[in-house]
Amino acid sequence: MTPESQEFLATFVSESYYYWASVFMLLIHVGFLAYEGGASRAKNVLATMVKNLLTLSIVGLTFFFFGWWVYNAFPLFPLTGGVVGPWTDPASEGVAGEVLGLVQASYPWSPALGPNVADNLTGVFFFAFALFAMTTASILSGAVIERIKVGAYAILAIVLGSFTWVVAAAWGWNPYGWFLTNFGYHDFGCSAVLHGVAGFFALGVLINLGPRIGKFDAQGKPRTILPHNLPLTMVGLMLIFVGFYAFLAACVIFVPGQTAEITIYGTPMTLASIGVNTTMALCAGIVGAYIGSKADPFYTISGGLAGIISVGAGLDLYSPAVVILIAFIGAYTMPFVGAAVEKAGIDDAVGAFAVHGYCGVIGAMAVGVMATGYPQGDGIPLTGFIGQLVGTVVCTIILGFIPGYGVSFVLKKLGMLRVSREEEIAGLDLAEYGLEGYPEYPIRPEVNGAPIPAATRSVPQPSVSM
Amino acid sequence: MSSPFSTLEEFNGVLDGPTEGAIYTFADAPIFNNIALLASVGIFIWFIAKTYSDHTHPLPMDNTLNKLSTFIVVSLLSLVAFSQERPQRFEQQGLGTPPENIVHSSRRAAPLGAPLGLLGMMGVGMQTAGSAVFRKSRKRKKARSLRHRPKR
Repeated sequence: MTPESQEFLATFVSESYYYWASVFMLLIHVGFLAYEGGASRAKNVLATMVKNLLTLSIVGLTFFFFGWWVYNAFPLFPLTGGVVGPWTDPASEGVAGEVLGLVQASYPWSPALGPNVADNLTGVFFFAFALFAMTTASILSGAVIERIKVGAYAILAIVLGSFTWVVAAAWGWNPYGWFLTNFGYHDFGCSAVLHGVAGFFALGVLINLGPRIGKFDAQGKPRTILPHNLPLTMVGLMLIFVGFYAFLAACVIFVPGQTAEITIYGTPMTLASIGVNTTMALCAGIVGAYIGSKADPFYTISGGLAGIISVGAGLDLYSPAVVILIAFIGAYTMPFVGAAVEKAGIDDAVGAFAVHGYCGVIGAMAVGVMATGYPQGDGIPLTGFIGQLVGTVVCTIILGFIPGYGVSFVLKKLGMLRVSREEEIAGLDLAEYGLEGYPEYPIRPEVNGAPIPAATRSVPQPSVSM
Repeated sequence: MSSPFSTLEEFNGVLDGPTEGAIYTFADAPIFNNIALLASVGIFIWFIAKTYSDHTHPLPMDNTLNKLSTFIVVSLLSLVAFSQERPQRFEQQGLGTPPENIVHSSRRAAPLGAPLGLLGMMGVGMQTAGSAVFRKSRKRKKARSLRHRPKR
């Protein structure tokens, strides 16, 4: 084997690794599709799944148009530099010059993203990040099912999936990001950077969106709206678990020329330990949620995700025993947070805030407690509680809750946020698509919260095939 | 400090130097990870124990079935009591053998009442069957109604 072919083999290994990791990450979306479709009522299953499907297109395209550039252009802004773009001096040196090289490869018109034998890796990293972005938006989609307008969801998904979480990643999941360089922030598995942002964004949206009709009685007491297909929901979450292994594997950085695997922060790690720790977090999370929820099936299966997110930020730093403890605590307390949100009059259909928002905060802050003082390289502050707190607050409040609340508030004022009462009662499948997800079976909206008003009786009914 | 590295140079040596071995937090203080391991085992045992106690509460009893079961059980008891009391009463009153029609009616009721009574005993009717006053008054009424039952 010639030196040239050996060099290309190293490139091909990296290219293939991220390519297949990203392909398996698509299972997260298969899982979200099944999870949310099963969690919805039968009259909304089609609309829920189509909305989930559209997430891929909405976020995939906008991430290509500007999201990938945002990730590369924002790491220095506002503390250590400005937003890097076509206006930046091409002769910039130092960190700005290094960032500029990456930015120039991230424009949608960049030759690096097309077939280019001189660059095999930029495109595959774009692929992985695009899947990250879609995942982030999918977290929102589950929380708002059964009453949001598709257009409103599309706008919110763009803001979350292709901008706010990308800014969070630029600041907190980037070797040049000021979270790291100024505060020593460490978030290997994107606990706050991705899950915290998405969970708090969803919370802000839910406040303006309001609960589903029938979710609360006249006294404001919550009522259970059961999933129409809990087995499908459970299978969906199992697929999400598989996708999460790929997601976390894609967080490992290995490119030609390296002699060891590293994190995005340049710290040493091993892929094998990610396998062990993810598995322990999954197991402990399910156990924790089982006990915490008193064996509620919906919370129990979500506990696996809660466990992984609760240790995600320090997954590369902890021993398996510590992982079990943190994952258990995060998942055990998660159902109580879900119940508190419901008690506050917020209808989070799939517990997105409890699983992603709350556990994202737990995950990021756990590093400040259980991995405090860990070095991250020359000139980089040690990990610590304050550094983690700064990053977590910025991610969850400034880039999560405020944008979610603000954009949904504007949409609400414009009457663009929520479907009409009649459409919601009739079911979004009929209202939006004129079809039923289960045409062979009669669907009785009156058992799902309210009697059918006269206005909805004019909705055309599809023929029933026997 | 949870870091297993004593100096930054030691940390840098992991990637391009002589440092080898475990790099996870508290790797230099095994007691901490051992305690965490013991706690993990404890959590697992707690989980196994909880699987025996955490179950969905049984559905509340159907009140209609409760009343029906009570009715069936009380009816059966009243029939049994009637069939046993009747010969004694006739003997005390010196009336000899009871009239055929009354005996006949209680004989017809027995095969029908027995399986229904068992059904009631299997159900939730047992809860209210313990009320002596209730049982007594219903028994008297039932016996009285059977005594005055018209001929067929």
